[in-house]
Amino acid sequence: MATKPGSTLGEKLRDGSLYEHAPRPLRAQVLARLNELADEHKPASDEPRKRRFKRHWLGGWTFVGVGIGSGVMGATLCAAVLTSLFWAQLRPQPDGIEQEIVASHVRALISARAIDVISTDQHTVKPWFNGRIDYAPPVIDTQAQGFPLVGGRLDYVGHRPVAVMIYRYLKHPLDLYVFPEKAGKETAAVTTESSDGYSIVRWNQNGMTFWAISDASAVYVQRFAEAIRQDAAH
Amino acid sequence: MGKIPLDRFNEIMLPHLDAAFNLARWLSGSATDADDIVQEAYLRAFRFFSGYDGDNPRAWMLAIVRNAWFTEWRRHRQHSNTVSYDESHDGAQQLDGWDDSSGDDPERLALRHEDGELVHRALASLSVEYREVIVLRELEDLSYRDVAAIAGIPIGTVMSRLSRARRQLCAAVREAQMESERPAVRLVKKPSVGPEESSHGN
Repeated sequence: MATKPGSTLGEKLRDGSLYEHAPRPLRAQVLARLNELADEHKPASDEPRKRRFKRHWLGGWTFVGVGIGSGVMGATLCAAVLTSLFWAQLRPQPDGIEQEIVASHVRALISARAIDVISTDQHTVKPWFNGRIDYAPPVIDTQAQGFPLVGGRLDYVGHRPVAVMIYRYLKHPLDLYVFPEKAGKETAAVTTESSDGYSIVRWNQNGMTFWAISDASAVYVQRFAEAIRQDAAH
Repeated sequence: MGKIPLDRFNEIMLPHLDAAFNLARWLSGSATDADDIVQEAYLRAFRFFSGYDGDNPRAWMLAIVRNAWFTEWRRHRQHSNTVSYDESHDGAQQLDGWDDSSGDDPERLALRHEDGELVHRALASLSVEYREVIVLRELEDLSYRDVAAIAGIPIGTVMSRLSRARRQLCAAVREAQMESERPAVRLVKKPSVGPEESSHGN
């Protein structure tokens, strides 16, 4: 905020040095919330088209078609409702958890408290979780693979406090959420991209669920996940 | 028809995210509050986008930011005992010590190299009505008409308020300059407190 020698207060006001620029995560956050809002509005905006279609359709069948038509419509509607119910059941909480993890990751970046314990030493980060959570998360150093450990954080996901290990890839923060998985099945890594542009990789291993999330491109998050998986397998 | 044009909205309004944040940050005095205000403002703007008349998008967005902040601020103010603002009491008599002409004109008040932080604090210390017109007019370089529309006051009031604001800012900067020149003060000078920290104590 140094001032050019010989400048006046008037110039200082206009030279941009007092201007407060938006922090980078804010843009992502605004976009995410706008997308959410736009999605809520979508079903409503599709309605006029459907109604017009229905009227036209009924008009074509005038008298004879009405009975059959509404029967078919009813059946279709029933099927649609059932299918959607079925779908809702087929896709249980993973989506909820995924949303929570995205939200938690973004919130941590926006707030001043992205890291609770700052250390590049896994033997400092791991004991820090003692007494804070009821499990011992694997804390793995992937420095050699290009993903240095920078610290740990306690967060709250899926109605429980969870351990988050914070890594970095170049300038990108990379959060690894780890918590016990009751079902306990080992699963391969699944990569998804959240609607707000975060890359997410999740897998189950050694009775734990791992979620890696970052704004870095999915390729690097996968590479990171692979590094953690191999180390955790030993 | 009827489709909410999110892409179009983003294209027109997102470039003004910095302006929105700048205003929210200076009004609220806190980066965290500014974050919330900007998010709320963009959601509101999207909902009311059909009412946008294609005029200056930055001014339109900033008016919504100001409204979003105002809602927040009023809520906060009920809990705190902020001194209310009275334009008529902020006249020249308060500036008695500074009525030589050079102290009144920001264009003539010279700054030293290290005065950046000091100006920042002086601006943050102005009453919010003054801060607002300075930020909109000087930092954002908006027209009097746009400032009037955003702040919801007549153009004449913008002009008079702006000249008072500039005078007060000058006085505050000069005072701070003199303080920092006094050696006793310099010895006990603490690390400067930004507007962010000072506003958190409520």
